[in-house]
This record gives sequence, structure tokens and C-alpha cells, in this order.
Amino acid sequence: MAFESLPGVKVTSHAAEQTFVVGDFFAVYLHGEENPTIYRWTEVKTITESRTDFIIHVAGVAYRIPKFCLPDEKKLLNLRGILEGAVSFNPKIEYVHQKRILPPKYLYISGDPGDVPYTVNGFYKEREINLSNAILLNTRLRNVFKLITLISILSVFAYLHFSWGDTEDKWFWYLPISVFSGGIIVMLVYLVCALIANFHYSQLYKTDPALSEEITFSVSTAGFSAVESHLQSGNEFIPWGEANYFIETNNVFIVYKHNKAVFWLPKRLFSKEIQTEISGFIHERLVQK
Amino acid sequence: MPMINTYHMTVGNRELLLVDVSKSHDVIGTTTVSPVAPDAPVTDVLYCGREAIINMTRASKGNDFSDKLVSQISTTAVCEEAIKTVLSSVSDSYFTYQQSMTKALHPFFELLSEGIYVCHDAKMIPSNGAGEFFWSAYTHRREVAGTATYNRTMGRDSNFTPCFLIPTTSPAEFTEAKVRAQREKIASGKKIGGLAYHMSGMFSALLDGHHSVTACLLDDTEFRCLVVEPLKDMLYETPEQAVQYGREPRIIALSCPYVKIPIGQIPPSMLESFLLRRSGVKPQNFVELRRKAYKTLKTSTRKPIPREVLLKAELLPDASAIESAHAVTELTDEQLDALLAGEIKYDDKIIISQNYYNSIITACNYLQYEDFDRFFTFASAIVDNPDLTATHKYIIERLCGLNNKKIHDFFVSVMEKEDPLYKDHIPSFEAYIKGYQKHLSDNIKDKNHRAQKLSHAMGIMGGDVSDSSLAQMEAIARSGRGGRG
Repeated sequence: MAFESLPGVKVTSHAAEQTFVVGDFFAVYLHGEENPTIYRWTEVKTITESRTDFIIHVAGVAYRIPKFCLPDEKKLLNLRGILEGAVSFNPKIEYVHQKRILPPKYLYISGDPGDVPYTVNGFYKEREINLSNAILLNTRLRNVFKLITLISILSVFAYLHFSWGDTEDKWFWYLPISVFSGGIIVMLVYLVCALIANFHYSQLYKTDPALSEEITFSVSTAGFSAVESHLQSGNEFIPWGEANYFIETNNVFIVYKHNKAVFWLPKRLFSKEIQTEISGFIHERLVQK
Repeated sequence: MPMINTYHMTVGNRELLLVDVSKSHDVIGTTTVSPVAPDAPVTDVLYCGREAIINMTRASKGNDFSDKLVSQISTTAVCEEAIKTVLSSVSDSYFTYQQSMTKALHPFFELLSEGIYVCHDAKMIPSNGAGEFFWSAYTHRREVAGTATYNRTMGRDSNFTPCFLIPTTSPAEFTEAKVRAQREKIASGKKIGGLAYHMSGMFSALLDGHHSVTACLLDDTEFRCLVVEPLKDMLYETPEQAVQYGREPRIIALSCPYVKIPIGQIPPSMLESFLLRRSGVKPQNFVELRRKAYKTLKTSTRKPIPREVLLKAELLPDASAIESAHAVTELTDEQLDALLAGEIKYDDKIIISQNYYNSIITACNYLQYEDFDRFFTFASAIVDNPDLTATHKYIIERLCGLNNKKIHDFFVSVMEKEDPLYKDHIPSFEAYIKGYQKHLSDNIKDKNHRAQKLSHAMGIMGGDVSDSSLAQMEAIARSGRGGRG
């Protein structure tokens, strides 16, 4: 079980008149009862993290832990760490959560991280994530954009041909207009996509409290990690074997698992020489795309 | 400052001290040093300050019924002086100066890692559960019977004392003078004892009292320890109970070998702190401990443990005897007679098991643990019975493992009969008789040697001496030393 050293969390939902103790077990004190019902994590069927609650389904009952009942964001992140740690050791638990920048904690294992040559504390910056996201969008959708460009050019050309006619004489006008229009259209499409993605990530900044916390980034021989500094123990990491490839942009290194970004490492936290070293270090372990 | 809450409780007929330790110095405890993965082997170490003392490895996290690999990797002798002072003071305070358990253990609680502990006073067995003297039995890593978290025969819910010991000081630290000093304390009527911390299954780490336990073994005196058991396991409903409610088995009690405390009996504040506490909290020196966890104990200056101690340890009950003692509640003479008659039932009830051979083994284990004389009578009656030849080999092997005059005389008498029934066992009898006579002559030599040394010191003419006169001479020599001191 990863993150098994995080202190347990006690939280009371006054509306439901229930008190929960989340730790090595999931215990529920019902209103007026002195002794709790103690569940093992193996009994838990699903855990869902919505914007407002954590919902735990166990023994046919759905327990709702409202996020606002937690005293502060640190406790909230602590609770999320325990729940995701429990999922890491009980993969049968179905875990549903919102999009993240930080790797979900169920990907981590607990153990000896080996040599840790690169470790640094810092914050994510919305701008660098958005910029990188735009570049990634371009990389990921390059072929789609090419196709859109081609279709746009052909469509404009066809439109000119059918509406204005006289193509044999005016093709040298029609062609540049079509190419120019195709370029404009694809730029507009790209802009809309980038805006949607940026909006999506900006929303993430507002909803995920982890992104306003100081993060400890580590790259070691055994794996990598990006954990809120106050939750970091130095014993948890995601093994390199869990990742598939990495991408290096001007601002960040991004490690992917099953085509999903799981680890964003901002380059500005390291000097130029170290950035080159890290690039080589990751390159030894993962394929670069 | 450490916070220590204590509660005196009685659960069933068991008296205990329940202790909640928080904000402690976390100097003594156990921690998992191996990576935690579902099917990977799990290595736990007992640590004292910056030292990893004992390594225990099990096949995987969920594997509770398999025995573990155990090795001693370091000694408390290299720990900080403050820790050693506390460890050595606890048993003296409790046993010699008769302080209350709470008061005597208080400085020790401050050193423990955070958690809930059950403390009690119990009789311990100084062996590795297989007839070897505990102090020299763990220098190499090996599987030790009885170390499984739960025993298949005893189940999860039986209460027992984790009575077998694992040392925390090196056998190289054994000194006869210290044993002699402890024997003098026993002779003068003082109580001595030790301090033990439960590790796994039937095994506890002896934190203090290595020389005391050796002295008790030599003097055939029972050795008692203050036993501290972390209360960290859970007892679940039986599947039948759970089916009644249509749910998965629920946790009904917190459990350690000595006692199972129902959830309702645990003070609410203590239960809450149990639920909030995480099992994976690592000690301050975790990285150093992890590095040291797989080293081997240095025993280069090892002094031999006296042969007499090793031979006496062989006679101690082993792990299977304890198992049987808990599996069998009672064996009457009538039931034993029925077993000797080849029956598995007495009074229409199964005595032990439907399997006759299994019944004989369990009965032997039980009797050897409870009462040696009854064991010998039963075992010799089996060997004398020509209808039970199928069990002879096992019983004779069992008897051969013990050094005892009665067994020697019995084997001599069986050989004298020259009955062809025993012809396959003659080599075993001969080997035993030869070994026993060698043991006797070694003992006589040792006694004469000691007597000669004493006579020389006292200016008396030498010669063969009886046990009583040797004891008298040793007592005079001791009192002389005491007077000079």
C-alpha cells in the first residue's frame, strides 16, 4: 500500500450525522453509536471523487464525504492520498476521479527509490502547462490538422469552381485563395481546440487544490514522483516500467502511460546543464517521442 | 513529550495492561523494510535506535499461515547508552524491586513506536521452538517453526503466550561470570526476569535478561518476562456468523497472541487512535535501518555456550508441543489408555482426531509440554505395545531427542529383552545409550574439574565429589567472594 504513512483522517458530515475515520481501515460512526463499523479496504467496491465529494461504496452502502467538511486543503489532499494508496494495493476497487496534472497516487509503489540524483521542490505554473499543452495538441493532432487543411483547400476550391466558374482561366487566382483559406480555417480550428484545452486546464487549477501546493519532484533510478511536499515521504515512486514514453517541450518533460500524461516535470526548476542530464537520464529509461 | 495512557483490564480470565503510546521517541519497534507489493516477500526488522536487530521475512503480505525466515543481524550492545540503561532497568524494577508493571515499564513505553500495546507477565521458554538454546540459534537466516502470524492448528482466535525467545545480544556477549551472578541472585531468593517484545507467532525478542534466562535454565527455575505485545491484528467474524447477516466478515476484536479484546471493551479514545494510526509510518532512521536490514551478525569472538545449557534446552517443549497443548484441552488417563488400546474414541467421543497416527503425535506433544512423567509413561507404553508397531519409529525418534536417565534405562531394558520386534531400532538405542553415557562422563569430568579448581583454591585435597558437596563448596566460594567484595 503506497502512502501508508499518511496520518489517518477523521471527518464528520453533520448533514448525514456520520463520522468517518479513514486510515488503514474505513470506519464509520453512525449517529448515536459509540462503536464504529469498521470496513477493510478489500470490502470497498468503488471510490468516486467528484468536485464536491468523495463517495465510497462499501457493503451495499454509499458513504458521502463532503469535501467542505474537511478543515483545510492539506487534510483534503491527505485524505485523497490515503484513498488512492488503498486503491494501489486493492486494484479491484474501481476508482473514478477528475483530470489531474499530478500523477494519481494509485500508480505509486512504496519501497526503496534507489539513487535519487534529481529532486527539487517547486510549484506548477499555469502558463507553462498551457503552453506545453498547446504544443502537445499540435503534436498529437498534427495529422488531423493536415487533413482539415487539405479538406478546407479542396472545399474552397470546389466552392469557387462551382459558384464563379471559368476555372481554366482563373485557377491561378483560385489556388492561392483556397490555400490561404485552408490555412485560416485550420488555424481557427487549432485556436478553438487550444482554447478549450486551456480552459479545461485552467478549470483544473481552480478545482484541484494540489496545484496550489508546493510539489516535490524526484527522478530516481527506480522511478519518478511528483507529490505534494507535505505528503512526501521519499519512499513512494512510480516505477519506470509503468510509463511508456516521454515528450520534451521547451518548458517541461512529460512522461506518458497509455497515452495519458502522468508526470509533468517543469524544466525551469533546474539549470540548463541539469536539464540536459535529466533528458539523458530519462532517455536511458524511456522512449522519446 | 510522549503521551502514555494505561488501562488495567481483564479479558476472560486474562489480566493485562493496555497501553496507548503516542508522540513517543520511536526508538524501539518493528518496521517493514522491503518494497510493499501484493505478492512480494515482506521483510520486517526489529529496530533499537539506529540498529536493525532482527530480520523476519515472510513469503508475502497476505500469507499469515507460513513460517518466517529469521535471523539476528545486530546486537543491542551497540545501541546508544540511554537505550541500554532503560532496557536493563525495567526487569530489575519489576522483578527485583517489585515496582508496579505500569511504573516499571513507563521508561520503556517512552521508547516504543506509536501504537497500542498489551503488557503482561509470563513464563518464557529459552529455545527456538525446536530444542536449540535461543541465544545461539539465529546467527544464520533460516525458517523457524512457529513464527507464522497465525497457527493452522490453533487458529486465529486462540490465546497463548508468545513464549519462545529470539536474542537481541550476540552469543559472543555470553559470560559465565554474569550467569554465576544471576544464579547467586536466585540462590539468595531474589526474583529475576526479563523484558520481551512480541515479534511474530509464538516468538518474542528478548530485550533484556539473556544471562538471567541462562541462569534460570541451569537452575531449573522458571523464567518470567514482562511481555509487551503490539495490539495490531484484527479478529474477524467467522464466515458462518457473517453469512447470517449477509455480509463479509466484520472486525470484532483487536488481537495479539495473548488476548483478543472485543471492540466494545476497548476505550473509545484508544479505538479512535488505533483507527487513525497508520501501519506504514517509518521510524526516523528508516533509510539507515533498511541499509542494515540484510547484514549478518558478527560473532567472530564467539565464546561457546556451555554444553549443559544446550542439553537442557533440548528438553524444553518445542513449537509443536505448544500447538498441541492449545489444540487439546485435556487428556485423562482413561483417554490415554484408550489410545494405547488403538482406539480413537473414548466414551463415544473422538479423543483428539479421527486419524490415529495424528492422535498419537498430538498426545505426545501435549504430554511432553504439560507433564514429562506422563509423557514418558505414555511413550514407553506405546513402545512396549507390539500392536502399535506403526508408531514405534516416531516415538523412539521422539525419545531419542531427549537426554534423560529414565529414557536411557528404558532403552537398556528394551535391548536386554532381545525381542526381534525391536531389531530395526537397535542402532537408534545403541546411539542413544552411547551418547547418554558420553554426556554423563562429560558431566562428571566437568564436575571434577570444577571441584579440583575449588579444592585448590580452598587448600583441600582433591578426589571424586558428590553433587551436594560440590554445591556446598561452590556456595562457600561464593560467600567468600561476597565477603571480600
